[in-house]
Amino acid sequence: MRPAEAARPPKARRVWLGLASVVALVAAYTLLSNAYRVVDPSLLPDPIRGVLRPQILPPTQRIFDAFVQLVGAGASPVGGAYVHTGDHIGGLVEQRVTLQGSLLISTYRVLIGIAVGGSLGVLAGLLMGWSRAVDEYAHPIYILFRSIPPLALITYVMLWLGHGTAHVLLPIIYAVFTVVVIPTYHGVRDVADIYVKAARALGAGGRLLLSRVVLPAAGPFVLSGLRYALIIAWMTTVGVEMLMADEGIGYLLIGGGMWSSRLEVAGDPAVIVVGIVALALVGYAMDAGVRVAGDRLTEWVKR
Amino acid sequence: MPDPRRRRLEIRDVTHVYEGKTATRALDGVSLDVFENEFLAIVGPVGSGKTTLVRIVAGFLTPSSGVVLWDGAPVAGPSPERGYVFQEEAIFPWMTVRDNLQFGLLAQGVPASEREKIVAELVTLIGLEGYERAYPKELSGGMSKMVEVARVLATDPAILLLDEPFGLLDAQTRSKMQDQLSRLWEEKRKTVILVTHDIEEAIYLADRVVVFTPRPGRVQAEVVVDLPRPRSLETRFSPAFLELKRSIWKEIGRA
Repeated sequence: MRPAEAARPPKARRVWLGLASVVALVAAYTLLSNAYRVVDPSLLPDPIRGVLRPQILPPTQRIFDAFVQLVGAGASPVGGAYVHTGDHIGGLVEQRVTLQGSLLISTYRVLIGIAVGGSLGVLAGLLMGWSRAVDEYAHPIYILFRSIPPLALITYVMLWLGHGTAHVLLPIIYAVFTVVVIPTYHGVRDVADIYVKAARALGAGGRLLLSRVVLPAAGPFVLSGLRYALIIAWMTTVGVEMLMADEGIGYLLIGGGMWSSRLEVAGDPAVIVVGIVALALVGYAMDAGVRVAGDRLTEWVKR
Repeated sequence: MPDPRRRRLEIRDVTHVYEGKTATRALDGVSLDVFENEFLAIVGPVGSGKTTLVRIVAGFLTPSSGVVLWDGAPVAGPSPERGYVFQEEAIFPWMTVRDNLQFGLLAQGVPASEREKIVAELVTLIGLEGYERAYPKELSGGMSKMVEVARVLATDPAILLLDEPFGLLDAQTRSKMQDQLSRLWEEKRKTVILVTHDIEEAIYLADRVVVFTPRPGRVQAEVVVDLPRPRSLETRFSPAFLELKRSIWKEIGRA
């Protein structure tokens, strides 16, 4: 029935090729990061000499060690064999900051941001797209607000709310909100016109028109907005956590505490790489989730 | 022939000007009557204001001057009583065939059991049994247009306004859809206004054909089509059909 599907390569092949590219990347990195054992980096020309060091490109086995340590950090006794409070990983282990725990709390923040900011954003986009008057009134304010980078709000939000949970969540909610408004707005305003006319001619109005016609017509736009919002939510979450949280993956990345107070701790590249790879994987998984759910919701779209 | 019947729609001296950088006069003093159960076709070149006129009848547009009376009362805004089928694709792509067909009924608060009955009847009428749960993307262009026509018929409107419904279809599909529409009309006997630039389509389907002049649109001629019903492929090649075709082309040539 769908010729586009038949033309695509079979699923098994796509999976194998995808896996092969990841394996190749890891292999290439392993070779590169261990090159300092064979070649003396100081003999190499300048930009390469600076980068090809274990302090910058930690060898794959070091990254794996750091991964194991971070996953087990919750279980290891305080003051255990590996604890050196002065270094990045030691400080984390001492505070029992685990990788999975950090990811969980960050994911929770992202989800709150998507849930609260997303619904507010869809609502605002819907109102602005639906009513000329609301649009004319609210659009300039929206553009003005959208121009503020979410992280710039942090100190001001702290003045309002103090150092609690809300001050971490607010910039994330705000970031998601501003991202979702525009696609919803365009979806409602530009796409739904002929459908709205048809629905009106059939006698529909009010709630029925909004819920069964306007929202579904804007649906694919809202979904692509939400997919983008997910990326923005992660960016903001990690940023906020680095600056002012006491848990989460951003906190893990800078080794605990606020950026300014941790300057004396040299960042451990292995921990940073573990954190970054974990972020990439969770981001990928969440995006895939949204995509699958979205495809199911917009099964009707001609592809 | 239509005269002894009941007059449903009165169009009195309707003029319409689209305001803008350059004002465009689309209609200029059009007067027309449409009678109960009459199938009226309006033909004319692109830009002759045909679509503007049916949009005014539907209530999407307010004429610059003149009046449109439906059963003696002026038209104010769209109403399911005057069902409208768009030139563009207006089937809801996110709804199944079944949900599209029952949307108007839902809007009017018809109970579920009644809706099911009407949908089942319409699905049979347009020959889409088994496609109730299909999405429009799985239908051909002709079939999804037929669903749009049936969706409007579901709420049993007093008049059906068809704005070049088959304009986007290829010639073969179009003639198939014309046959279906013809059968549908014989079954339901509705009052219909069909706007088209296809003269054969107009003669094949209508009881009366009104010819519009190029912009601004005026009624140039009226031709009564007294071909026997039900009409078929043979009708299209009958001498009477060709004679009507010739007389309409002559009117257009005179414009």
